Amino acid sequence: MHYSWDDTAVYRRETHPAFLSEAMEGKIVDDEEIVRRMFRDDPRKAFEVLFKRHYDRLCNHAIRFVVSKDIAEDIVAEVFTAFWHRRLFEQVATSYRAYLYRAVRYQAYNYLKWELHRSDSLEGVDILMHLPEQNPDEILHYNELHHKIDEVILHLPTQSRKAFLMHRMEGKKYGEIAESLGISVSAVERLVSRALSKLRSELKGFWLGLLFIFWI
Amino acid sequence: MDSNQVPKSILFAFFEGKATAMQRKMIEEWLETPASREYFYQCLDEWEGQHPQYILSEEHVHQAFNQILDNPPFERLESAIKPVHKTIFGSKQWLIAASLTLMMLTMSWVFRKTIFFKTYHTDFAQTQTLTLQDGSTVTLNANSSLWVPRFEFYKDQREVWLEGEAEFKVTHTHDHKRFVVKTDSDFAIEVLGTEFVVQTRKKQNSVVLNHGKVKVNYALGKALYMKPGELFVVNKQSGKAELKQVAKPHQYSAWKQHEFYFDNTPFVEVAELIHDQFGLKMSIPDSALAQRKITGYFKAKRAEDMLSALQMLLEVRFERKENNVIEIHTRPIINL
Repeated sequence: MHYSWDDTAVYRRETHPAFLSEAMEGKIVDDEEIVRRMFRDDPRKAFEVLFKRHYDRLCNHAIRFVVSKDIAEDIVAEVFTAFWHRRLFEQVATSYRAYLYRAVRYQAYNYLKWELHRSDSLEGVDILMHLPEQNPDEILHYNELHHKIDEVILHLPTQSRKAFLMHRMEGKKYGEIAESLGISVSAVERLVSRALSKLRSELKGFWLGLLFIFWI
Repeated sequence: MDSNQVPKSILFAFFEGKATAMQRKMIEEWLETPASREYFYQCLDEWEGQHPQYILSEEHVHQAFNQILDNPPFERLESAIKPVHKTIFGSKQWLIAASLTLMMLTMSWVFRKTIFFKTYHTDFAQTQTLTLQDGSTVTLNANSSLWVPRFEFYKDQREVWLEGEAEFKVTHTHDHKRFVVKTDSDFAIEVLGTEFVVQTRKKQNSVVLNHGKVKVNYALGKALYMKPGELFVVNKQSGKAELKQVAKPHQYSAWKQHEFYFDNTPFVEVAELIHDQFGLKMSIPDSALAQRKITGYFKAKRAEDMLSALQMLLEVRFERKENNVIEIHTRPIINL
């Protein structure tokens, strides 16, 4: 079941007194506000609401960058883990929603850059606490990056795209892919690595664009 | 909402990759204020809700949630199986009142450790290979310990605790259960079916990956993914982390065959290894000797094998003292 942000039904179900009184006054209450209040009274419950509210959408956003369910879920879990166990919910100054999206995008970006270019972005990993400020162009660039990734994948030769997506998205082994495509294992390997090197070369200019902004 | 508000429809067009250059510019200019950023992410979230890339079941989300609650980033072995003494001894006024309780606690925790964990331990100059319930094999190097939960090994993820050095060959389970190697510091390795060597000694933690893929959590909130042929080292004192490519990853498990490989390794590090491996403490008289570089393979089942080779190589003489201390004479002593 999916709720949209405007759908306040989910909070009725929580029957939070703060919500009820204001809802009865006919005021539109942003659910962000309600979750924040809940964190004051019952953090454990609030965290659950926040998590279940955002988890699948954040995974869906992360996967646009990393093109792998496992890695996307890993990245989102990492962000939530820090949020809960390091009590970032006490420190985040923006809305939780904005924080979570920024953190997930940043982590996904770092991961992808690392995977494709093996740059040692080790230092880039401890930023969950202090996410770097982003200027408007950078914010938009993230979206353009995942469009670009999608475009590259869409334009791969059919077999290569199939093998790549089965391997990355569905986490299938080379042997399984070989069987379902009716080709040899080494052919699958070649197709997948060709897809990766295509991504690498096509995204080259894209990284630089973002890097430039990061370090100037 | 101010009059300069960019309409949701334009934001959605942008998320879909269909915005014109002018619309992009409009959004960029609008994004200068914090309020508009909030609205941007709010719309992004709404848009994501309408355009899923894949569907996550409620059950799956629930599992992911419980996993996060159950798994603080770096649960230490200390806190997982032993009571934490420090907090109680820290304030004196509690000492007497707490001593009895503490004793009882310790008893039950020690008891718990033997009940819930099976411990494997190797002495100096000894290695041991063992097979876990899931078919994964672990080879413990000398002077190392491994704790394996007896009952909950399969619960959410397969977890073991390591002190020392070991090589892991992890099997893949049907339900893709993770295999996690935890250590006494902020250092844990998550695995999905793979082969690697972990070392957690006094000075540094390190991982060498032979096959597959692992994720290393190496400090609070810091993590990285490793690829085969990579060596990752974290210095425990400075916290400095280094990832590098190694030509022959199998050299890092050479100890299984009682072989040791050095490549321009300073003597002080060799001494460290001898300490970890054989329990002998080398007292190095001068820093010039400490920095002498050693290269080559050593086959050494016993400490003596390695020491005699080193004596020749460094042109020094070792003398065994009490308490397993080795004294080094830089000028050969002529015994008359």
